Amino acid sequence: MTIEDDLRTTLRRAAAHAPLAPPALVAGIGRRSRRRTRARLLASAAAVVVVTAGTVLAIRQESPRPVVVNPSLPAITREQVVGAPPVEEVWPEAVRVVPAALRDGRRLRALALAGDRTALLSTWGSHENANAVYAYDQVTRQIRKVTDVRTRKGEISDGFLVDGDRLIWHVTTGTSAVLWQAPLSGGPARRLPGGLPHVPARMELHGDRLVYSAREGVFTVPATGGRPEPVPGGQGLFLLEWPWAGAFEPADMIEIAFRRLVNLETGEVSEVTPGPGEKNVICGVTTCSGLRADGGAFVRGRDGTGERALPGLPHGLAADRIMGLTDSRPEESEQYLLDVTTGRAGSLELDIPADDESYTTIAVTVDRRDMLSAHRIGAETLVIIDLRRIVSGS
Amino acid sequence: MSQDPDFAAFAAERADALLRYGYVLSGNPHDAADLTQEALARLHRAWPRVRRRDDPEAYVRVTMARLHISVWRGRRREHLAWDPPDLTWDDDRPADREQGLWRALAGLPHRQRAVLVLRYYEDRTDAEIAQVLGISRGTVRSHASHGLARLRSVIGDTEADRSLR
Repeated sequence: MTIEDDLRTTLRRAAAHAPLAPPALVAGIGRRSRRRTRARLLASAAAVVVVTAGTVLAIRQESPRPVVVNPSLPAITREQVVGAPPVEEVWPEAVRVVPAALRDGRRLRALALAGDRTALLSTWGSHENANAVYAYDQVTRQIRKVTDVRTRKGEISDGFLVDGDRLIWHVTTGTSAVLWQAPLSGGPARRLPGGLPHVPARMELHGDRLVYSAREGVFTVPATGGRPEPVPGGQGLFLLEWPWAGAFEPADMIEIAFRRLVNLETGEVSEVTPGPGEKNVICGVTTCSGLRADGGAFVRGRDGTGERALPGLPHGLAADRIMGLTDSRPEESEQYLLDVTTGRAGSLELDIPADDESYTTIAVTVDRRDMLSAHRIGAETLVIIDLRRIVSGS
Repeated sequence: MSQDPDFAAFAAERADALLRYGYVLSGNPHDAADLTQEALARLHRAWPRVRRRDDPEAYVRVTMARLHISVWRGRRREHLAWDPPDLTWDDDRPADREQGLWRALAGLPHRQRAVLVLRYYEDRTDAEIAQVLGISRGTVRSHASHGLARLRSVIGDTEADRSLR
C-alpha cells in the first residue's frame, strides 16, 4: 500500500460517514430572494482617519450568565430567519460596523472589543498574521495605531485579548509561544517574561491568570508572564469556557462536540448522549444542537429539556445560543445569525453574489464565546457581534 | 416561485452524493452542507443552460471544488481541528493510519486538499483537475506533491512508499 492507496481508502470511508442530506438542504434553493428594500449601509471606510492621540479605554468585564432554554419555546421557522433585518438593527447594543480597510487600502480584521466604543483591529503582514493593531472609536469614527506586532518568518501572532488597560497576545513558532503586551492607549509592544512550551489555541483571562488550551491539555500562566502550569485534570482536554473543558470526540465529526465536559474547578463531569439516529450533536456549556434522525435541526438543554425545532441546517452554537444559517439562492446568498434562546434573527448583509467564485461566511462554532466578525465585501465594512452583550442583554 | 421540476428532481436525487463529495472536500458536515447548498443554488440559476448543454452533476461538482478553494471562513487555523488524539469511527474498526490520514488532511491548505480529493476520490486526471480548478497542470502537480509530502510527514511512510524511492 502506498500513501495514494491509503488516501483512496480513507476518502471513500470518510464519504460513507458524511451525514445524509436532510430535506432542508434543498428545500429553499429554488425560491427567489424576497425583494430586499432595506437601505444598504454606506461604506464608511473613506471616513477613517488615523490619529495618534490616544485615550485610555474603559474596559468592560462581565462574566457570562447561564443560558436557560425555556422548556415551552415553539419551533423557530425559516420565515423568522430568512429576510430578517440586518444584525445591527436586531441587536443594536451588541453589533458594531467598522471600516474594513485603512485609508491606504490595507485590509483590517477584527481582533477584540474593548469597552463600549472601541474595536481592536489588525492589519496582516502575511496570511492570518497580524503585524499591527489599531483601535477604532465607534463614536468619533477615528482610528489610531495601538502598536506594531513583530513576528519573524514562521511565527504567527494570535490570541489577542484585553486585560484592563493592556492588550495581550502570543507569538507562536511551530512548537512554543511567547506572550506579549502593549498598552491600549498606544505604545511599543513588550515581551512578557517566560515562555510557553506549547502552541496555545483558545486562550482566555481568568482573574490575574491566562488559561489556555494546547494539544497537551489546559494550562494557566500569570497574565504578567511567568511559568505555565498544567491545570489539574485538564490533560487531553480543550477549553470551551473556563472552567469547562471537553475531550476530542466523537465518531462522526472532526470538531470537538463537547458532549463530555469536565469542570476543571470542581471535577464535575457532564455527559450528553445523543438520541438514536441523531447526527452532528454539538454542545456548549448549557445547550446542545444537532440533527434529528429525520434530518430536522434542533436545539435543547444539555439535560435534554426544552427542545426547540430549527429551520434549515444551522451551524454552531456560539456562546451557547447563536447559530449561523446560510440561505443559498440563485441570485444572491446570505448568512443569518439566529439567537435560539429568543428566536430573534438578523442578517449579516454579506450579499454573496452568485456569480462570484469566492465568498465569506462566519464559522459560528461553539468555542466562539466573545465575538464574531464578518467582512461585508461590497460595503467594505466589518460587522462585529459582541456575543457577551447578547448573552447579558436578555 | 415554484422550483423547476427537473431541477427539484435532480437536487433531491443527487443531494446525498453531493453532500458526501462536500464532506471529503471540506472535512466537516457544516461546510459540506454549505458547499452543496451554494453550488445547487448556482446550478439552479444556470439550470436552463446547463440542462441543455452540459452535465448538471459535473457543473455542480466543479462549482463545489472551486467554492471550496475560495471560501474564506472566519475560523482560525487551530480551531478545534488539530489532531484529535482519540477520534474513532464507529464502524468496522478502521486502521489507525486511515484516521491519521483523515486528520492530517484537515491540516492541508484548501487547494492541496482539493487537488488530492479530485485525484484520489474523483479519480480525475491532472489535466481535468487543472480545468476544474482553473489552474495550470504544473500547479496541480505541485499541489499534489506538496500535499502528499505533508501527509507523509504527519503519518509516516509506508513500506511501499519507501521501496518506491
